[in-house]
Amino acid sequence: MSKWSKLQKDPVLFFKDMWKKRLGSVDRSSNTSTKGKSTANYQFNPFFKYTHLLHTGENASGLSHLDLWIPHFINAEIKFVVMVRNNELFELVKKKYPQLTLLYAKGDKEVERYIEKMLFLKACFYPSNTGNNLHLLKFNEIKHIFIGHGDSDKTASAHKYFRVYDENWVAGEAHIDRFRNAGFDFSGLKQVKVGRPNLKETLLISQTPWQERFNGNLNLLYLSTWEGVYEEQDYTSVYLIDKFFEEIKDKNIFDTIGIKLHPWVGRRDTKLLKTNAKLNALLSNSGVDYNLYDKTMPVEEIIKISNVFICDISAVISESLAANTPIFVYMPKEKDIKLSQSSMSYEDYTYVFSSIEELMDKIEEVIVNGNDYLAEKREEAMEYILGRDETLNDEFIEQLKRIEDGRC
Amino acid sequence: MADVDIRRLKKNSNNRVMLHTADPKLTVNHVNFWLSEIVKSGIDFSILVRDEKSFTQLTKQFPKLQICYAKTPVDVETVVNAQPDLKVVLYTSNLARNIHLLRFNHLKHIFIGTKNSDWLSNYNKSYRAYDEFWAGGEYAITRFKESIKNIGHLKLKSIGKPQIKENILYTAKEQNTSLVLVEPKNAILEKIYFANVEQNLKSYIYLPEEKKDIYQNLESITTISGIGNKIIPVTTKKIVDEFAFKVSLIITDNKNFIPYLLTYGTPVLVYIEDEEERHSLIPDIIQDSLYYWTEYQELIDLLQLLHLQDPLKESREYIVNILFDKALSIHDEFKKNLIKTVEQL
Repeated sequence: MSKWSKLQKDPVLFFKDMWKKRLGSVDRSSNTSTKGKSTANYQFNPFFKYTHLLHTGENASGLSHLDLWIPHFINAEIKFVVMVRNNELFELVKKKYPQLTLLYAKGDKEVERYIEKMLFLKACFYPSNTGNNLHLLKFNEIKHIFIGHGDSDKTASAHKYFRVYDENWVAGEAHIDRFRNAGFDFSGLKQVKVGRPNLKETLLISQTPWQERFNGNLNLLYLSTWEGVYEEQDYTSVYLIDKFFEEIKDKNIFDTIGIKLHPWVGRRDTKLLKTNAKLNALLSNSGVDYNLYDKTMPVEEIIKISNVFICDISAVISESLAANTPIFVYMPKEKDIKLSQSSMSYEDYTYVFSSIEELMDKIEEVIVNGNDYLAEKREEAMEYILGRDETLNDEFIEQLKRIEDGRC
Repeated sequence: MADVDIRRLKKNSNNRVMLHTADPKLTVNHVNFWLSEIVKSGIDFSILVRDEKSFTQLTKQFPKLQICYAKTPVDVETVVNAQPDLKVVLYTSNLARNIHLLRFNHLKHIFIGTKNSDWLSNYNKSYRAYDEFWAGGEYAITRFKESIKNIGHLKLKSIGKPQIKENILYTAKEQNTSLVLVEPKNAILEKIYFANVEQNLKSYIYLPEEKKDIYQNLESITTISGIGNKIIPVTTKKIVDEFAFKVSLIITDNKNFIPYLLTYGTPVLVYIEDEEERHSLIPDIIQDSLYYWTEYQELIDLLQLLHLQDPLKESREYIVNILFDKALSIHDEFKKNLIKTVEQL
């Protein structure tokens, strides 16, 4: 059957075949499926001069880390490759970013084989500290740069393992202060301020006062963290937040309520896996205009449509800070919170609470009575923590190009 | 088995030091290599093992030691939290799982390596996670600096290898004796046997227990020839510990033993199949401090030469010093450094 007659007789089959062919032409992977395999590549051509490699050693959950950076690597117009260590993540990235060059290398031998094929590779970029980063760190001739996946005062933000990298790219001065205050020598680690490129759009929105955004509507967004790998990093408010929504649902303070739990909630404490269902049951017949966001929803997108935040200690505080709106932060009292301190504490620019009663009192004062008494300090924190100027000046892209040009 | 086992930690433990070993195959060797040296420091210490089988084996071998097991990062945290006085962690190998401990800023992290790591390790930037790197001698320090240009905060220290102290100090050798450490194949053993007999050497020959036939053949020929007191087959695996310090020369084809065989101060005669093999010896600096032979006559010639003189003696001493730093090894620099480090924290 010719194409023309196929279109006339069976248009569904025509378009099905057409898409099949198109997708086939895009998918130049050496493997159709990575299941059970230890290596795979997608659009990788060793005769290209790849200069940058973005590596994540995480499992499928590492997609959120890559989402944070891939658009900016693309914007920098550099020749880069993404390397993942999990076959499920490989498939996810391939599907989401079909224009990218992508590698999957399970073990150190597979990593070695790919690295040796990239003769012009100048730098590897790491969004998180995972044990398997070691497989790349053994290449001494390559520059190793930690770029992180957010900015927070958690102890994970500044510890001795960071010294394995040549450079630590941070948003603003706050992160460098966390290292200075952590009490160890990091003299070999170059700190480079690059701002938070993913927050540029939010920073532009923040130029309108928060009370005047969205036609004067108040859109509350609750962003939880998860219970952490370690007990010392368990700062989540998920255990008590249902009491807050119980209190707030009849008060009519907010026009909309958004809820986004950290995608890993319940990973260590499985009881928490039912949190979304519990909140849904609580709010579904209350008349509240609410939205339980899916775990895959990018945080920066919902921050842009919100103007009041309730957060846990995590990187989302700095994401919310970009919006320059009141932020209420849960600080558990009964726990010995170990933070890697910068020179501005959460109390300086956020409304800290340890109980639902305290949260309700502060909402009353700041939102209902309109006394946003930390507004000035918040502005200061935006520069100190987020590197507002670096973000607006596209410093991250400039630094990527510096590596490409071989400038130190 | 549970993911974490801290049952062997003493109640109200006062441990200041913890030895961390994560290699699934070599954990037991690593512990055995360092254990007595840490004990000598007199500091309360524990051992954290990351491999389940090794943990079982070690707890049987040392039932009174404070040995812990931890599988995941959270389990490691449990082990650390159970030892509030912990100050120093000693690492034998640089593995991915070390990251679970290296994130603790309040601990001093010291890489001490293994028996052969000074020349076998590929040093890379990940070693910068440690606070200090302790090496046997200048050889490892130089290699490290050449591999990693920017070492940043990392303190590189020569501390010798305390394990070789006795090898160096024992100088009373039995004249005309040899220790033979070869794989009994390819007619090497036969060449060595006849050469030793011809040169009238007393020889201790290592034979693994499974080589019973060779053992019996040797025993029978030495009995018939009346040289049973000269050619002595030995099956114990501790043959090096028991005999190497007292013989006047060592004949071997085992390339991995050589750096440590050199510490006994006697000539080492290495069997090589060809010249290329000589240049592939690791660490490379030992290559000029050894006697080489391939053919029977070459071995005879060497034994005759060594009867008169030992032209590589100085070279050997120099190499041992570069690899192990004799003075530091003899004077317990490892122990002193460990005590000093703990006291300073």
